[in-house]
Amino acid sequence: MTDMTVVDLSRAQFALTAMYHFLFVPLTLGLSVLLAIMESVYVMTGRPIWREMTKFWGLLFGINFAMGVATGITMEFQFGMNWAYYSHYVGDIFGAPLAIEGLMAFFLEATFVGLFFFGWERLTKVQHLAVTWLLALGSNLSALWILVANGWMQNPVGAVFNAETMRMEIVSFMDLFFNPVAQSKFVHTVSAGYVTGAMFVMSISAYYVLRHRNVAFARRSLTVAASFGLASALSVVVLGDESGYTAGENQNMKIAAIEAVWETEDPPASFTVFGLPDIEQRKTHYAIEVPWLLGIIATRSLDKPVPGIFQMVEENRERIARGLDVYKALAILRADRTNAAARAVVESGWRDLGFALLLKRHRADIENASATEIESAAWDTVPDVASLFWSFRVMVGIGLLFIAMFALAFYLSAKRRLHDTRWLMHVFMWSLPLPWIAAQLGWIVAEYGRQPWAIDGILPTFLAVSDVPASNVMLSLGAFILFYSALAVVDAYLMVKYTRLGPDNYRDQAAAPKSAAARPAE
Amino acid sequence: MFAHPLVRKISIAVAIKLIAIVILFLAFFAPADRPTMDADAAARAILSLPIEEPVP
Repeated sequence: MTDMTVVDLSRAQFALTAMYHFLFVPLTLGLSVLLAIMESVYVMTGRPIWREMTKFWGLLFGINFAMGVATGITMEFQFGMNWAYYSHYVGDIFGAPLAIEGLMAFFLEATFVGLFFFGWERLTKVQHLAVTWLLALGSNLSALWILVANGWMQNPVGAVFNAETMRMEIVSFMDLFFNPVAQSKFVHTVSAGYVTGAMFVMSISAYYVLRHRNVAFARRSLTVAASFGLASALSVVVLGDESGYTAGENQNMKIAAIEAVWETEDPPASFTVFGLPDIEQRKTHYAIEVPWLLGIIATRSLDKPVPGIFQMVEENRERIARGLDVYKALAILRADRTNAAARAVVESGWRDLGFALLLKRHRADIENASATEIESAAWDTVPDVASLFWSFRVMVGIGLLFIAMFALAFYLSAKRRLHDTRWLMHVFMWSLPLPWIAAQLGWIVAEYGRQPWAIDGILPTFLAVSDVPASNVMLSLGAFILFYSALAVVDAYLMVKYTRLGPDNYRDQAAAPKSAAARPAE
Repeated sequence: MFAHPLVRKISIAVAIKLIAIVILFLAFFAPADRPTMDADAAARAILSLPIEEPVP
C-alpha cells in the first residue's frame, strides 16, 4: 500500500514550487512583448520617450526575470527524488520537451536578456530592437515547450506502454508536439501572460498619473497597455473556450467536475452559473442554469451530450475491470517474456492498465479486489468538484472583468480621456494582483482537475511517487518555504523600490553621469 | 548600466539564490540519494501477483 503522507507531501511540495515559479512567468511573457512593442515605436518614431519607456519597464522586467529565474529548476530536482516512478514511467516522453525548452528557448531568452540590458550603448537601434523581439520570442518558446510537456500529462498521445521496460515510450514526436490540448493550453496561457503584462503596466502607470508624476510617460504606457490588454483579454477568453473544448474532447471527467454535471442531460446541456456542489450527496444545490450553454461550449453542437459524473464513473468501473485483466497478463509476461498470449493482452489493453492501478490505493493484491473496492476506485476518478467549480468561476469572472476594464480603457484612450478618469486609474492601480489570482486559479483548474492522475488515464498520482521517508519530503518542503519566502521579500522590496523611484528618479542612483538626451521627454 | 546599484543588488540576490539552490540540491536531492528505478524496480512497485495466474 502506498504511504499517502509521502504522496500528499510530495504533491504539496510540487504545487508550492510550481505555483511560486508561475508568479514570475506570466509577467515575463507579457512584459517582454510589451517591451518589444514600445521599442518598435521608438525605432519607428525616433522619440526618446519611447526608449525611456522601454528601459524603465525593462528594468522592472529584469527584476522579475532575475528573481524568477531558476526557481523552476527545483521542480526538476523533485522529479528525480520524489517522483522516481513518474520519471521512469514517462521520462522518455516528458523529458524531451523539457530538454528542448532548456537548450533552445531558455538559452535564447537568457542570451538576449543580457544583450537587452547591456546592449543599449553597443548595438544600433535596429539591432537592439531585434534583440528585444528575440527575447520575447525566447520567453514564448519556453512556454510552448513546457506546455507541450504538460499537455501530454493531460492527453497522453504519441506514446505506447512497453512491458519490457515498464514505461511509456514515444512513437510520434509530431503527435506529442501537435497535441491539441498542448496547443490550446499554450495560446491560452501565453494570452493570460500578456494580460498580466498589460495590467502590470496599467496599474503602475495609473499610480504615476494619480500622483501627477511622469504623466507623459504614464499616458503613453497606458495607451499601449490598454490596446494590448484588450486584445489579450479577448484572446484569453476565446482561447480558454478552445481549451475547454479540447478538454471536453479528452478529459470529460474534468469538464464534468468543473461544471458539477452529475447526471448526463439530454443535449444540449445547460450551464450552471451558480450552485453549491455537494460531494456527499453527489448533487448541486440551488443551481442557477443557463439552458444549452454548456452543450455549445463543450461539444460545439446542439445534439451531443456532455457526459455526467455518474455515467463516467460507471464507464471507469468497466475500465478498472478490463485493466485488471491487463494487470494479470502483465504479471505473467514479466515472469515469462515468451508468453505471446499475455503479451497480446498487454499490447491491446494497456490503456486500461492505469485504471486497475487505482485499486492500489485500496489494497496491494488488487487482483483480489472486491466489488466495493472497485466501486471506490471508480469514484476516485472524480476530482474535487467544489474546488474546481469555484476556481473556474472566479477565474472566468476575473477574465470577463478584464475585458470590461480594458475595453473601457481603450475607449477612453481613443478619446484621450483615460488618464483624466481618476476613478478608473484607482481601479487599475488596485487591480494589480488580479491577473496572478486568475493565473493561479487556472493552474488549479488544469492540474488539480487532472487528479487522481499524474498522466491522465495512465498513471495514478499516488503511484508516481518514490519510496522515500515522509520526513525527508517534509524537511525539504520546509526548506523550500523558507527559501521562497525570503526570495519573495527581496523581489517585493526591489519591485516596490524601483516602482516608487519611477522613470524620473531611478537613473539618479546610477554612478554614471546622465546624458541630457536620455531624460524622459515630458 | 553596469554601474547602476540595481545591478549590484540583483547580482548579489541571484548569487545567493543560486548558492541556496545548490545547497538545497545537495541536502535533499543529490543523485546519490535518489531511489533507483529501472524496469524491474518499476515492476516490483506495481505488480503483486503470483505469476501462475492464468491469462484471461
